[in-house]
Amino acid sequence: MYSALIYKEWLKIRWAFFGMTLLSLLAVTYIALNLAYYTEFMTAKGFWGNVILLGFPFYTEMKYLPVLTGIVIAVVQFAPETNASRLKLTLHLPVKENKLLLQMTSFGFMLLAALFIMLTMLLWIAIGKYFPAEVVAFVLNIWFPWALAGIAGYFLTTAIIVEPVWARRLIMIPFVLGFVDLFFDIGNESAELNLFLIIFSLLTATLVLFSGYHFKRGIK
Amino acid sequence: MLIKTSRIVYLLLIIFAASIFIPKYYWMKFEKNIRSPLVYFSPVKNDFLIRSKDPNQVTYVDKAGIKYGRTEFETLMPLLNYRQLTLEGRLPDSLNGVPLILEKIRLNNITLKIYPSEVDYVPIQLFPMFESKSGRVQLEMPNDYFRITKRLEFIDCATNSIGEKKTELFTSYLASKNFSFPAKIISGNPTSKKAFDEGYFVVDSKDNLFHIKMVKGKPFCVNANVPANLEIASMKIMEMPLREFYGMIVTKRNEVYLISYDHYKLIKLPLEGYDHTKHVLTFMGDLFYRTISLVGKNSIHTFVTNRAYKVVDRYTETWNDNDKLTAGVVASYFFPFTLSLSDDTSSVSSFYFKFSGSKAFIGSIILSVIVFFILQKRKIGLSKGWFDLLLVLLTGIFGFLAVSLVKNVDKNLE
Repeated sequence: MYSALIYKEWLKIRWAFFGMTLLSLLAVTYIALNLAYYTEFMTAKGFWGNVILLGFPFYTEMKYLPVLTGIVIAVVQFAPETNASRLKLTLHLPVKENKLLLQMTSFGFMLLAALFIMLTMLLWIAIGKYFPAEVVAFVLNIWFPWALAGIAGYFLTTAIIVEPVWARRLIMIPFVLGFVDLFFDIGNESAELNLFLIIFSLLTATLVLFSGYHFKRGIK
Repeated sequence: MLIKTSRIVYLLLIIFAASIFIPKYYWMKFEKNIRSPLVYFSPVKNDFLIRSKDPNQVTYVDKAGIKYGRTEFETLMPLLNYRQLTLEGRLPDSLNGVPLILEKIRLNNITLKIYPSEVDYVPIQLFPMFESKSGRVQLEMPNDYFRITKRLEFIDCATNSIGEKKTELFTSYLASKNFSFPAKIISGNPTSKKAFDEGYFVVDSKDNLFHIKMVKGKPFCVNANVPANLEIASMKIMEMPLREFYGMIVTKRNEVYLISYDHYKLIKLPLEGYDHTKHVLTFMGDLFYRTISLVGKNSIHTFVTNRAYKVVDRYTETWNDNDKLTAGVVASYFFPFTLSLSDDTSSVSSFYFKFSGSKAFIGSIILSVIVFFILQKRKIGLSKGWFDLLLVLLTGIFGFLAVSLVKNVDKNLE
């Protein structure tokens, strides 16, 4: 049952996932090219000075990619389901509906996590070629909440899409936007804040259940 | 059960976002830009001159309340305004028996500032080691950066690899001076736009303070022999042609020391009530005096010392900050707390709560009563609705928003 479901999800997601992966790879490639370009034209020590002493951000292309990816995956995975209430058919399968919804989102989550981990490693390799570990750590620290925003963005978008009543969607959207916006507004986070953001982002996975509950019961 | 958990997560998300954004937007509309006064000490009158907080007015008041315009102020502060006075030919030949020579005035005019967010800021731990005696007029950025971990390692920018020879040279020299690796704090002024280079002040793993620089390609390392229990929080190093001190040390106990050129002797600044997490410290020096101000959100404490750092005069002023103005009082009734993930006083993103105290509790109780009726209307009894009520009681308007916008879970349908 589970593998059949995953296959169905994969069929829905795959092209969007390939597309977003390609876009992300292009962005990383662009950053790698930038690294080579700045090293040549600023000279290595000039570029180092700009990055290490002045915090020159050569990586901003990555900023909104994860959250965009998360939203796109959520839309292609759940928009066709809620369209004409097809999700009702899925929810009538002989599997507990909560479990089913969580299985669906866990698949999307795993794909996203795999993509973000791959991007992290590619950034690591690209930056590590030109800079010491201190700079790599500094940039990855900035990248981390951006990637986390992709996870939270995915879970919260699914919750918004599955929610059947527009009035409730409109209540959800501003708070979700506000919450996700926070990930782009921080830097040099304390350990507690990072931990909180990780745990809370993962907890947002449960929100789709509340929407699903409205969906199944047709609660107006 | 899962559905209920899901709803609780949703409520918490709303409360979290609301407690950040609603106060933020509120203050964007109502916050007044309250400037602190600028406090000067006139070596002519030996009295304070305080610039008014109104940015559109250039008037100064002394302690007795006498007002001065700009021209008078410039006359009373000849050292601060020597360029304007020279232009107008108004610079006196001497002051307090000391001849006023442009070169000397310029040399002795110094300013330093330490912001709270600088004290807890940890930059990328890679630093350029300048050649401090290159024989050139201008400093040049080196081709490598150093780190102090188990060794003092130089990393070449072009190849991103460690220069073993230089690393070995510096590491063994530091070891011979009893430097214990790794470094806890490395502080310098890593810019080539300075008159000369004094390198870095480094706290080693045993809390000794070392002065490290490079002289003609060779390492220079001296133990400054500061007391072991100093507990340095941060340092501000700045090369000044006056060559009186290398910079300032701020300790965890909120003491401030100057590191003097005289065998690194520490000079303690007589600053009572300094809190490096709250105050901006400004240090202004001239031929005669040091004017040191601790500027907080609603107060300024200024200490004037002579050149031997003995206090000669003090000035204190307090004012109402935004919390005390109408908007702040209103906010304290509306918001039981506000949350921010960043703060002026720190470079770290974390949870910055500001609690409004008991006033907001009245509001929370009223809102809880309203929620009680909302729950009744939703046919939710206290046995199921207690959590919602508690949430509103604790988080006031934010919880009220969340609970009133999000319907409860109907047990019969779950």
